[in-house]
Amino acid sequence: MSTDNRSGNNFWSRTYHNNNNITKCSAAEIAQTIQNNFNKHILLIYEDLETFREAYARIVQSIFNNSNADEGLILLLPYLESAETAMLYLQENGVDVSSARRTGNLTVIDSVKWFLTSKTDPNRLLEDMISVTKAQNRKGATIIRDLGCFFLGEKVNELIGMEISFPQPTRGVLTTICCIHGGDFERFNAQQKDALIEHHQCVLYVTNAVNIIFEEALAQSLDEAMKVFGKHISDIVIRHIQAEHPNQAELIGGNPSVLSDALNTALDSGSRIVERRILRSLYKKMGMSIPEIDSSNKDFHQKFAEARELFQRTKAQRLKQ
Amino acid sequence: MSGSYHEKVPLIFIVDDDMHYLTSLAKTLARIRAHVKVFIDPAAVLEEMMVSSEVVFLLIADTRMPKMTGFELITAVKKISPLTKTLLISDFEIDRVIHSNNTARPYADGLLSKKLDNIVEFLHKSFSLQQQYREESKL
Repeated sequence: MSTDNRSGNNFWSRTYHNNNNITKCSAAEIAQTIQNNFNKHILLIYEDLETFREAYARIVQSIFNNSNADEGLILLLPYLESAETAMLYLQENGVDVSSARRTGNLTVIDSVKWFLTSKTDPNRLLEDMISVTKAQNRKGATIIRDLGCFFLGEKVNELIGMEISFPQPTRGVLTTICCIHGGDFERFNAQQKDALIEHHQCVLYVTNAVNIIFEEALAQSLDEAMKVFGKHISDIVIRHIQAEHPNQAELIGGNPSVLSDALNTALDSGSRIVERRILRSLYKKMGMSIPEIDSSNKDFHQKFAEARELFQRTKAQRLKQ
Repeated sequence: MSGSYHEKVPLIFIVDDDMHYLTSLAKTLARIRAHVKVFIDPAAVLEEMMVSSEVVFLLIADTRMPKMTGFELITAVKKISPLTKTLLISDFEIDRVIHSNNTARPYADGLLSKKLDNIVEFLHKSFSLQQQYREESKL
């Protein structure tokens, strides 16, 4: 999946998304994206637990559906939920967990136990897994590991060290999907983010389909709203965002202050015009009349959050129908 | 809710990133005579505590949350509101070991599994202790 195709054809989408190191995709697209990056070291930043659940369920389903029995080996290391809850979720989503565990195709272990209480170096454990994969003549193995546990153990430096020293030889056999909640990713400092992004071959931000649609609607609205100021000003806004938030994982829609700050920097009081136009355009795209946005005392963030929530509710209902 | 009633019932904050569990716990605690506020974001708890005119009697926090772990949250809460009792909840036995091994952080007043009955029992005990303390203070 390429970012360009997903992000539409308007100037804002093309410029903003193409200059970011992080590819945004929906949980529904994740299986195909992972298949395209088979045997790679992947960083997957997820928006929330529900999105992560959908993502790992789709990855597991796709591996089991696309390989003959005993060909694929999967190790799932959850953090924000128990191994039992993860297995239950997989079972509810069409994975025959009992059978997969019996044949050794699926193993689910709490990531805290795997990373924080094991006396063996986690990278050494990877090499052991490769040996098992080869010894059993399997096609390959996939590890889905949640790295959030390093915050619980207050071992963030160890996490960065582990990722930097990720063993090269494993890359031919293993697909290693290093997962982290977006809220935890934002806890890393700029150097740590850079190191993580640099030492993964593919970096994904996974959100739900509705938020991706919202982001596209926002990009179109921004494009329309900025037209009055021309391409030069639009460039300044984008450059400001990229300079101030070089590796921001969150979508702009999820963090409107980033956009608001950039608009203020570029346009000063003119930013209010763009903000109003964005809101009008968003409501228009929902096919709804605009609430009293000009006369209310709410600031842009609040009005934007309301528009986003309404958009999500409306779109989610339409997607269900 | 009147002011006088409000003064008598304890204020309880609950924070958990799992919305389903949070809803179940809030429903269970609705049976208890307390003013319960729920949060999905640990940072929002701190913001609320900063501006709250009322002392939070008890904070119930999940150990494993994004943005801020339960351990980090209670450390911050103890600085803002030392009188607030703290209860960590977790489905993981290993979290208890991590909590007890970290001597640099303040300990929570309790660490329980996320079973709803356990939490209700803890609350009843806390309330009776609170009542006992009040009565002894009057003597």
